[in-house]
Amino acid sequence: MATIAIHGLCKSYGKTEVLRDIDLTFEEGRIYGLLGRNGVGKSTLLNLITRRIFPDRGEIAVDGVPVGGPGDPLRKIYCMSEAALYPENMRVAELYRWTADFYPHFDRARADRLTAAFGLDPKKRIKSLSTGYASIVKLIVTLSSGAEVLIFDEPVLGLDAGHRSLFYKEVLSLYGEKGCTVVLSTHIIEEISDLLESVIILEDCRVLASESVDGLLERYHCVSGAEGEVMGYLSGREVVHTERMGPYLSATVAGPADRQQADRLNLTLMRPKLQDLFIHLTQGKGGTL
Amino acid sequence: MKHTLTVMRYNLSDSLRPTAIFFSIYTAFVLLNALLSYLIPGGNTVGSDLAILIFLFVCGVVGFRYNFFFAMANNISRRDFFLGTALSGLLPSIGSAAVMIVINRLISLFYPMPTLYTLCFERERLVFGPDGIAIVAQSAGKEALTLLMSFLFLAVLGFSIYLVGFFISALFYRMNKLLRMTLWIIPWLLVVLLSLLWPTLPQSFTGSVIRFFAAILGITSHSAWPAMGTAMVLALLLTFCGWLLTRRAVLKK
Amino acid sequence: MHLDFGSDLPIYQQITRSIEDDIVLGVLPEEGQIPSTTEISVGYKVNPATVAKGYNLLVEQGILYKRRGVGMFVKEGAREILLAKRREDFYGTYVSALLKEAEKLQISVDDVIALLQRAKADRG
Repeated sequence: MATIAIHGLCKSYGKTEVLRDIDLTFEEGRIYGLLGRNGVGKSTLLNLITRRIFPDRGEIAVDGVPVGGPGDPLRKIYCMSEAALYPENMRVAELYRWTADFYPHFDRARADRLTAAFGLDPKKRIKSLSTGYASIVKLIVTLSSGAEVLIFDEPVLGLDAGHRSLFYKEVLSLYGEKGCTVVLSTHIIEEISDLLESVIILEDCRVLASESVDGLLERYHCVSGAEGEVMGYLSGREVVHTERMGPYLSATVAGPADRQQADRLNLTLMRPKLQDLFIHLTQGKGGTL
Repeated sequence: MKHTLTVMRYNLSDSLRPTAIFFSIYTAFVLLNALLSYLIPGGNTVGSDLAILIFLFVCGVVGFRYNFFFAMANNISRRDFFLGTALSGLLPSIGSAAVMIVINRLISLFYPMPTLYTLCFERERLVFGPDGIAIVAQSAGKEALTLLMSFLFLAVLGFSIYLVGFFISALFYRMNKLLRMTLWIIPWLLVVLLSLLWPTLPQSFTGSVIRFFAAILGITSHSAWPAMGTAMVLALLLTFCGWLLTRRAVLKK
Repeated sequence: MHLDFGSDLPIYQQITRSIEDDIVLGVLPEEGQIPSTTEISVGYKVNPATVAKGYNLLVEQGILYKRRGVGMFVKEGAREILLAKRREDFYGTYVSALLKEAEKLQISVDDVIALLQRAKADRG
């Protein structure tokens, strides 16, 4: 199982800075969620890891071996990207054959089973697939690649609810079997928040958070109740977000919850949800952590 | 290095269909042409080799973008991709030359059909005298040698022109729209400039330029080897430039 | 087993509680095997580490044990341990909560006792 270590990574497109001094580690055998608002640079980061584009500065290493150097460390990774990289005239079954040539551990049996499970016709050409099925063929190849690190960039684009559910189950099944490192870069956060072990949030060219999901959620709590009472609770606390609904006020607060104070003020305490916390922290106001 | 052969195999299998189509058309066309020339006097069977050269050039030119994308999808190093794609022109060149020879021999049974080689180096010969250039008829050489040289000549030229095409496709991939438009204009500009400038240059200079090109193209020595050498050297130089372009190529939308 | 993703209780605690409930009810017999972490993980689309956390908690409490290469099993005597624990927690979980709710509704403790006796009679 492979570790990816990123240090001091910088990337700009012309005058636009996308990533600044990124330090990250993807430990082996964990399921990561890579989250960020549209255009923040998630795909850029993934393309830099797989050396599809080059960094301005910084190092990326897989198991200590720098990518782009001798030793070909990228063989341990398979990355499904948003972009259409497969030859459009190729048939799905051919794609499996060729991928097996490049990835000797390719699991053809799994690929065939998934093809049937998703209702994909293996004789179809890539160009004739709908958006959803184009994503499906990519994720099937990734899941069957046999690589130690699987990276999914927007895997559920265009997938209906049934297929999304099937995908998540297959990821967990493969993970349970092989213990590979999985990176899911997606906008559909709440569906996967229980799947993830760790989360990495990119915001404003930096890494806003890089820790376990439990760890992140434990550092915040939500409180709601009558406005006056809630305001009383909030004084002296770091408030991340407030939402008013008529006479009620709910707020997301940093730090541990004070049960006694909440009880006294008749307030309800709740754990924050990952998607909500993500939205509040990435409002673009430079959310503090 | 690991994946160079796989990339080669992939390119070859990818080009099988268009190659088969091309050669079906080629054979049919050549046969028809020969038949017509046989029946109707005044026809000629010249130029079919050129079609093969053009085909190989096109093979080189179209390959870059989609093959590069597929290589990136499979995390193949740019070196493996480049070597594999460049070398995958070798087999088609040799194969095409062989097919040409076979068809040529068949047709020559009932109608004379020259190859590019015989046209350049055995039919006629350019002689440089004090008064200028003269064309002298030359008798054909030994049959087997001619065949071998025809084959070799087309294969080497074919592979060279494939590599040139590959270089051009790498160049175009790396360029943005503006540069591409500029690149299109350059050949025309050069032709115009040259045709304007040429008459104004001194005779001694233009004479030595012509002699230089005649030498490297094997016209003076009446041998195909300089021509093949020049072609390969040029192709390898451009291929090296193509590598410089490829090693910093990035994924584009 | 039922997991409520909308609930405020962490998933691993929900898993723990579900298994405890099933043991108490007899759905999971002693010395019987329980679903593997992968099965629960895939079934509920939850990270296996979360499931393992719940399982390990129960192993620590002497409710489950692991048979290498086979899976997780209910330990003998687990039901008794759970019943004892639940009896101990009964006061805190239910009785205090009952009285707190009654206080909220301005029902006196004596009224609560009267209600309990009515319930006893209804049950026959």
